[in-house]
Amino acid sequence: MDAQTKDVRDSVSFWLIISLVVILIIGWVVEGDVLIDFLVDLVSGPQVLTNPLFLSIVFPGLLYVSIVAAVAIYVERKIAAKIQIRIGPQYAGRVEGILQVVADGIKMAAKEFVIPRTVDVTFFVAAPILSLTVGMLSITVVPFSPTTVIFPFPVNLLLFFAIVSFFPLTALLAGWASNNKFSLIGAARALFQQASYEIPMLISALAPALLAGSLRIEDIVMAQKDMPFLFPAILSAIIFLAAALAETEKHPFEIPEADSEIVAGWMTEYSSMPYTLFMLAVYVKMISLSTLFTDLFLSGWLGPISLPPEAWTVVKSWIVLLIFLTVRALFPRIRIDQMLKMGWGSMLLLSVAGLFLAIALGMVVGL
Amino acid sequence: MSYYQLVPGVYVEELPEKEGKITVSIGPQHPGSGHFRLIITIDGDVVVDADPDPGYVHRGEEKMCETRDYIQNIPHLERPVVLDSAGIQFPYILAAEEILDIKDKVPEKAKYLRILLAEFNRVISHFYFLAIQAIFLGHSTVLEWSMADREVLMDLAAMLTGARVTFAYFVPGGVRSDVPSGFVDQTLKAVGYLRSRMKEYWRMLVDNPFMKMRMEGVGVLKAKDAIELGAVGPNLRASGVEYDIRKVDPYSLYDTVEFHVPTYKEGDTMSRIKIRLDEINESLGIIEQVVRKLDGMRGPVRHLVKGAALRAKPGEAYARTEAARGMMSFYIISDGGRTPYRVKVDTPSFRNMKLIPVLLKDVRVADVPIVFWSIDYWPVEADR
Repeated sequence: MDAQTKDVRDSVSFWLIISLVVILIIGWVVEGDVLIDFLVDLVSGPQVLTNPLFLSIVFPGLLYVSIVAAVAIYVERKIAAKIQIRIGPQYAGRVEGILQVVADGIKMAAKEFVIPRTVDVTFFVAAPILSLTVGMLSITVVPFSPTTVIFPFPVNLLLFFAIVSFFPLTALLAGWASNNKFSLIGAARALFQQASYEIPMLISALAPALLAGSLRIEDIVMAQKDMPFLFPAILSAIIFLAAALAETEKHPFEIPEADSEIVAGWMTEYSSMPYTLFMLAVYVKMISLSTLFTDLFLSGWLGPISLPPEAWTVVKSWIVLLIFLTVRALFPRIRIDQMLKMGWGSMLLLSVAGLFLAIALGMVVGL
Repeated sequence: MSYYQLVPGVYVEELPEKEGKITVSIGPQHPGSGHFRLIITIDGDVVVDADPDPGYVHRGEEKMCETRDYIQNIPHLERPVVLDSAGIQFPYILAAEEILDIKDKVPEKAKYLRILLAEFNRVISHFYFLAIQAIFLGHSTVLEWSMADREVLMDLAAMLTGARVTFAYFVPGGVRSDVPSGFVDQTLKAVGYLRSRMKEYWRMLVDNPFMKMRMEGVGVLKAKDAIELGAVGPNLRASGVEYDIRKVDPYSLYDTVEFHVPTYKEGDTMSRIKIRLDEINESLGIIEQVVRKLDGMRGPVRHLVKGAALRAKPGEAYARTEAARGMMSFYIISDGGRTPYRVKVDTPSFRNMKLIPVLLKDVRVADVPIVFWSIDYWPVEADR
């Protein structure tokens, strides 16, 4: 086969999608007076912190998530290096290689986006964009404080899981559009993996919801005034963490990307910026899951010392994020059939047991 | 039928394809294969048939031996087994000394130095094995650890021989150079360090619940099968057969050092990991004993052979040793010239290749890399 590649700009449907996105953004930002409201709020001072445009672009939206993702990648590499008696990034930015992520980003952006001749161009290009979109959507429903939430919603815990369950579909889209055996196997593994971890994850998230008597994350956090739900719902918290590791495709659940078996799983054919978007989406997902864990089990923005509520959420979620990043160096990858067996066996049983344990302990301590 | 074009338009290979099953060619360019191809037939997610296809890195080492004299043969013979270069040198040197009739003139100190370097190389080779096995399992920490801890012994070997990987240290009649100053202390320090590290390896690789999930009961080789297929080395011992040339047929003063031969009953992938960890510990014990013996030992390390003495009498010689991957043997025939008439190398990887179809049968596709690597098959060594 000769190494011809297709140009994405030849595809009509690609331009249709792009124009749709542009129209939506213009319709929301310009026509809806959002921009003018933002400018007015910006002049008036602290009120800007609750402005929808500020929330979605700066904090806790795009800018915050991108910066934390970049820091997380750097910290992950440094932690792994320390555990593995290596040095890690060292040269970019002179001091301990702190600009390594920037250098990598520039390198990735400068690379050619290779589109193999056999792929379905529209979906091949759309998949990484959709993946990052789903990641960013998942952060919109997680509250950082009663006012700092991009999309307030009465049952936002359910909405979060509804959004997050779209991730394997984007993986399937990428794998299917790649028209490659490795990609398709990886995508199928991603779907299988979702089928195994999602139910334990939902059941263990139900424990704090039952203790608080609400499916609204804000109410769940406010119900932890006296005691974080981590103590009554300890088993649920552990299962939730394990399921979140599976959700982010990190070790020991890095099954869809198993590089010694299926090259890079559903990301095999991707290069350049689209690949970066996938990677970013994974870290965004990690950030939103760790923030949700903070809200559900670690009493969210409530803390012993009076700090800005967002600060508590951010600090706690970073600690949870550190757990995500450290586990990677300790465990090998398990097999997909073992993952399914675990998800439908011990994890499911333990999550149900954790639910009952949480209710029993909650009654004991009088929550 | 599916076809693989080896050379486009010139040679088309036909692979038998069974009804409802998929034939996959792993390698020679797959990240998990090495210079080697494995044709597996899969039914769903389970391997029903595995067919090894070696020969990509045949170098004609045996033929090359016929045009070089007994000293010139040393460097090129190391190339097939760079990770265990002392392992392949040892039987060659023993056989060459037998055929040159200088077997009794080798100094005692040289014999101990040979044991020392061979055990260094066994540890280095086993660490490399652990590294690759770990990365096939998706465990990058043990990869980096093993690669880093290999360096400790490679630096010591460089101190002793001047080279890190291919030492060319053994010569007919002894070894090339004496122990440098400070070597004994540094080796004892390194042994202490590696001993403490081995506990962490054990915790990371064996006492790790996910490692147990992946490797216990996967790729089982029964003792009976292992004997019938002619398995050698750690793979044979992991199946419960206690057979080590160092014990069975002691050579080069191995009978004066104390060590025991670890065996495991299970014969699964996990026991093949455990046996290598145990062997590293045993080798460290041997290194410690030998270094203590070398400390203060005086005398020459080489009986110099040159000129007419390099011309062997007509005859034949055979020597076998326990290399890192198993029994390695050399058979040399001389017709009285400066060069051997014929050299036959019997490498452990070639013998262990027969295990691949048996071990990979009924294994899941995701387990193919770890089961394949667990026998420590090295394509270059098998192809020679």
